[in-house]
Amino acid sequence: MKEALHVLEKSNMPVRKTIRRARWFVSSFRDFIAEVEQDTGQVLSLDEPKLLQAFGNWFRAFEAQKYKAQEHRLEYVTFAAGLMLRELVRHGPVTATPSQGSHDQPATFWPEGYLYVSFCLAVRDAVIEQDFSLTADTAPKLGDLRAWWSFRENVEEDVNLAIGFFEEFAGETPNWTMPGQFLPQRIEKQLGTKPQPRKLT
Amino acid sequence: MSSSYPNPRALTLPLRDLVRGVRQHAGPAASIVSHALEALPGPLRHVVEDITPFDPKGAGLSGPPSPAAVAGAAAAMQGADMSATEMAGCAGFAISVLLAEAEQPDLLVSETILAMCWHDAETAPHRAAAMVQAMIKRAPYGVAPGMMNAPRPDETLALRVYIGAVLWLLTEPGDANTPEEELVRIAGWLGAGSLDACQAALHDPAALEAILRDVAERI
Repeated sequence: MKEALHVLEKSNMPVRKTIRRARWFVSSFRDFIAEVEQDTGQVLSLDEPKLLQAFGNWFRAFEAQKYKAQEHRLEYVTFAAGLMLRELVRHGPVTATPSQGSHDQPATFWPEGYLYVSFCLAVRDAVIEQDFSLTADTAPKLGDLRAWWSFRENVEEDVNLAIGFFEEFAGETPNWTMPGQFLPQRIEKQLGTKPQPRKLT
Repeated sequence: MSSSYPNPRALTLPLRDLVRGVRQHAGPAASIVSHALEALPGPLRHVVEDITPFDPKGAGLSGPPSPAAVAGAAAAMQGADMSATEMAGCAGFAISVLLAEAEQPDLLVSETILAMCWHDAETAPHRAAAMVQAMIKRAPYGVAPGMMNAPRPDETLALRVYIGAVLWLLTEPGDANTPEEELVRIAGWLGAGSLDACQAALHDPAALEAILRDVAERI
């Protein structure tokens, strides 16, 4: 769904920098809500002050661990998008109007969570594609309702776990022990054993 | 039939402030008589409406400044020249948006005092910090004299408004995706998140300037 981030292309900067500016973050998030509403039929309302709080916290968390990313930029993209998801879940800037009907899909089971995960994945995928010329393979867990049950229940207990779940949704091996810490060595060990993003042709 | 009511934009700053103050008093009066006005014949109704113009923006400031003025204000914060009148117009716009956001639209913003703030700040080595300090010292908005029911301004809100306004002055102009009103609101929200840090650095212009520039870059 990264096509919904087309507003970011209007900036003269790369996506990884544009998304760190509040004006672009807000306008792309607003566009994304409209896209998800159209795709899912959900009605979503946005609380912009909460979104800006989430943005501010994410930015600080992002900057705080950026120094570890110098040799591991690709891995840091996923981690940073996970941090973004954590702050969106923590501040909850979106509220879905309760709907009738079945709740057997992630988008209907937890519309707000689905929106946050989709947005963060789209940002991650756009950065990876632009900076590394790779396309990201997403994991089958993204459509697995049991994973979403677990995701929703666990982040209520510990919001840091949102980062681990994001890594899982993105097809990477989650760091469940210290999800809020970027541990590039741990990722390096996994590089040889797990599927990697594929090179664009 | 034209009104002899002066156009505030055509007046020098103190008179513009004065006329806005008068208009602020006229606002409630206009809303009180609005039902009675409907019963009057057209020409007479227009005369009375001209005497008591209702300004929905409360403080009576006009819309966003021109893109050139906004860009000029950002450059002035970096050291370029800008007239006090233009800077006062930009800062006044930002303050009025932030006051409306805080549900305090009836507080009166003085462009005269803002011009004085800019006079203080433009000669300082750290202009953004100096502008915040000048606004704290001079209080460019408040209750218009004679307004009995208006809420008293509170100091925490004032600091939040000054920081938000200066953050917006520091940032680059908006565009079709993000109009200036929204950028001011974004500046206000991000400013609120850095309020403690700004407060701690209030008496250290270099540190305050660094914080303000850092936050403004995120807008």
